[in-house]
Amino acid sequence: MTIPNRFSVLLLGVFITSSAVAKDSLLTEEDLFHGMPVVRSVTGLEQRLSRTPATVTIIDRAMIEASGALYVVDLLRLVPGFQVYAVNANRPVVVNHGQGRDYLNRMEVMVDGRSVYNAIFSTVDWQALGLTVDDIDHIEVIRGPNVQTQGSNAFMGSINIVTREPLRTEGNSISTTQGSRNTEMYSFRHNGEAGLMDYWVSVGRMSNEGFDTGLEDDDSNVPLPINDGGHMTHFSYRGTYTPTLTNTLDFQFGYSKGTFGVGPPDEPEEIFPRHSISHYQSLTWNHRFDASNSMKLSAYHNYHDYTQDNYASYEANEFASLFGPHDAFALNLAVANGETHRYDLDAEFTHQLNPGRRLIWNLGMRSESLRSLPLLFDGENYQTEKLYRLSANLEEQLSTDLTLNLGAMVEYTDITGSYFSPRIGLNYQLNPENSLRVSASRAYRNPSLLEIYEATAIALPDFSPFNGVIFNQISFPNLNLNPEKITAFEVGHLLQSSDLRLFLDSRVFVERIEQGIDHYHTPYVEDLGVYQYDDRVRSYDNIAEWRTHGFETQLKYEPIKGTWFHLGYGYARTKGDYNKGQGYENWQTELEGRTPKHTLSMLASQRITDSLNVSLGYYNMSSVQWLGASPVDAIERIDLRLAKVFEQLKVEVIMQNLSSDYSEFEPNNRYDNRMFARLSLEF
Amino acid sequence: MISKALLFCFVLMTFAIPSWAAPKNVLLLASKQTPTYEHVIASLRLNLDSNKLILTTSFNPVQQTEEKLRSYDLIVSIGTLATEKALPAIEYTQVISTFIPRQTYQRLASRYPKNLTDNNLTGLYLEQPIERQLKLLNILAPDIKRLGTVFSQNSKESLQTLASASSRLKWALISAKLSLDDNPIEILTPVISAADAFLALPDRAVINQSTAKWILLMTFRQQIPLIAYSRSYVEAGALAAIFSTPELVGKETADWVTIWLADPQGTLPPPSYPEQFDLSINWGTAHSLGIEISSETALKEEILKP
Repeated sequence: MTIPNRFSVLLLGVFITSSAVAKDSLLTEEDLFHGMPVVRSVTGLEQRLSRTPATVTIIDRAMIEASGALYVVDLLRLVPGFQVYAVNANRPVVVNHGQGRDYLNRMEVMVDGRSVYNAIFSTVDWQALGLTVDDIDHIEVIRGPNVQTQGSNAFMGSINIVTREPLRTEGNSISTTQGSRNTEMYSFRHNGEAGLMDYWVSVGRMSNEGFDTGLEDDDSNVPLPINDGGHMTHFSYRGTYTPTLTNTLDFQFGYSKGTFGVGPPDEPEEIFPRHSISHYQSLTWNHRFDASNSMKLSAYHNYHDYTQDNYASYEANEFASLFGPHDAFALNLAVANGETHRYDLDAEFTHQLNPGRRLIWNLGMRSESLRSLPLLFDGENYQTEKLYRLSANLEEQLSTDLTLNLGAMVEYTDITGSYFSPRIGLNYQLNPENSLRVSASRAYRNPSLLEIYEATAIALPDFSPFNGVIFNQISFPNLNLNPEKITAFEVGHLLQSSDLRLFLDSRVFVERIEQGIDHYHTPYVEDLGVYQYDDRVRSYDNIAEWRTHGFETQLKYEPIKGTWFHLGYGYARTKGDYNKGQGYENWQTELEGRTPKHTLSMLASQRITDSLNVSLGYYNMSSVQWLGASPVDAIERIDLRLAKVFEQLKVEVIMQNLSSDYSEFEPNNRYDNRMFARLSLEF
Repeated sequence: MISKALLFCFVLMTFAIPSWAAPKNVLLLASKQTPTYEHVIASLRLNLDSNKLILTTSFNPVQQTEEKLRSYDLIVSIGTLATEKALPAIEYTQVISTFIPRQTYQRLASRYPKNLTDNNLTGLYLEQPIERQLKLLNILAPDIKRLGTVFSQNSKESLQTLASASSRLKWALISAKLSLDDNPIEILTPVISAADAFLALPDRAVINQSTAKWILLMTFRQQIPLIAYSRSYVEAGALAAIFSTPELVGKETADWVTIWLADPQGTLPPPSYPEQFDLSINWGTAHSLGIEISSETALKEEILKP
């Protein structure tokens, strides 16, 4: 019997037992003392944080609005220890404790529990999420390994973007944002009901012209335009159907299509438009068997398709000088072409075994496939990976003050085999307002399909005398790539005042990463049988190792109604190195400078009158040199937002970066002063 | 002849000895061994005079034989299962049923002859009286005109009490019946959209848990206060709740045992709701509703005012 068949037999068994729900019997005292599912969009803050084994940051609706963020990813600047930077204007990356490249691969990002990780680029395409900031209810961020519940991508943390609940709060909203860099955003939301289904739909279009001008790497001093602007149009739908008290079905689907300029930011001439089409379908069924047992069954499919025509002009010029100019020497590198499918099925069961013991276990499987002519060796066909996972988390109330959390995940893929990621956490309630936690975890991250199979090459034109011969093999697959390994410890303190006006969470942590995956270069390989333009070939390998320790704190304080303040601060020091491989003079790279030492965010909001609100944001990050990029100076940014409500109309003026210009990722990516106006009408 | 004389003497001694001279045998019978029942027992023991009583504790009602149960002067049954097991003994001894929902107590008591239950059985209910909950709501939101609620087959008896209590406050009661097979949003929408406050009635845990999310979301969206019956409901997002805690129930039950002990006839107090209560406020919800509350203590004092 194959694993999928066993899975369906198991589920069938669960459904049969589910019919045994007591209908009418005596009400007992236990009915009154049973725990309740916390509705975070109501309480604003998770009030049982004092019992969780990880460090959690919640970005709630009030923070989302006060931040004045135009894009979803900008909200993550508020998370202590997180860094957000733009590789290209519309290609942002989020990392936890630095060590970032031009993609994100150590963080799981989800929308309502559905992973939006993209196998083509081992990253998340933030502009293709199909969401506006107005669609979001709150964001839950786990700062630290969360593989034990979210799977191997949650290696350094996980982000779950929770959209608004579609409920019968009928109504529509229409909004537009206009401002700097020719930014234009239009969105429409409709909440409604159709039969027994409550739903919302969100439609939007955004465009901007990206960064201004930049210098071509080691070329002239004449600034060139950076064409990394573009546009994106999206449609998304979420519907909730509650056929009975114990069953809830949640449907989601969405589509987005757009084009943004993408390429090496230090070489503006090599930034070319990349077209993308994405869609997703998701179904979640929540079922409660009885007061103590419930199930969540979810299935989803994600699809991404990218096309980019990238003419490798440099190489073409070399040939033109040899053979005279010819159109065909504009070699089509097309590095960002490809399509990917992900199918995922997951069953999660929650059992309140007794008042002090809760077990959540989870069984899932995933099929991920990637096809890309320019990126993979066998680019005509899909490369597919099958993944199976089993995880369990036990929460045991050892005494009224002491909670033990034990969690583990076993993940098996048909490429890298199986790995076991455990976590143990202890929470001690000092008094009703203060609690301490310690946790230790070990986790593995499976390499992405791209990391295993990437094979890019530039071929000569496909006619005589060149006959499509490979001119330059840039990268080559590594089928022996092993998972990355992290070992993490933390000690934390949480203070939540009884009136919830003060929330302070601090922690010290140590993380050790072994078998870190990064680019490794080997000299020209004879066996390839191709002419090698330069003398090396790149592949991914387990060649980095580092240790980061630090301190983080987050504070939210609301002294009086209408006035609140948020602070998020992270201090991190990294020691370690990365072996770039032969072909480089200094092939051992120190990783210390790849983690910003200080990351600070502050956000204050003040209600002036019932209809007028002002908020001020301050962001600061130490200088850093991201992997594969040039050093950038420390960042200091001040944002100001004014919001005035005229009955159904809200007018916002958002000023970003009131201080001097700063650069992200590469000196060319310069943020200047920006100003936007947003009008929103509810009707 | 001698044996008859001995028996006579024994009976005489039994009635002639003052109560202080022979400690009474009292069984504290909990429905289960979990921390909740342990807290009730601990509070009972703390507040009872051990010199006047021989206290036996059991967390296993199923193992108690009827013969054994009859041998106690008083059984304090804690919870539903313990009460069900202790009730057959009321023909021979007395029972204080405590930490039990009111309707469950009444249903169980109705299975026995009235003369027996009147004299040998009483109950200290777990829930707080509905009047007290409405008083809390009235203090927090004095402008209420229409109160919404939903009930099921299990909680329809509470609805009648609620209807008369809210009519005394001149509030219109908007209610709807709900069962496990119903679409919760369809039932809740007309109630919540027409109400300016909502009172959650305790029901079977599966119903409480399945409706809570929708009640919380819809009352929050409509910005109306939700009054609940447990601390965990408040933690989940309800504005406030008045409830009994295991410690308070244990203490109040101990007071009842002391009254029974002091009374030469061993009269039991009539079944009633508890006098003592605790309350909990969700400050986050209070802030978002714009309700100013000075402190839980001040609120408690205001509720206690006649």
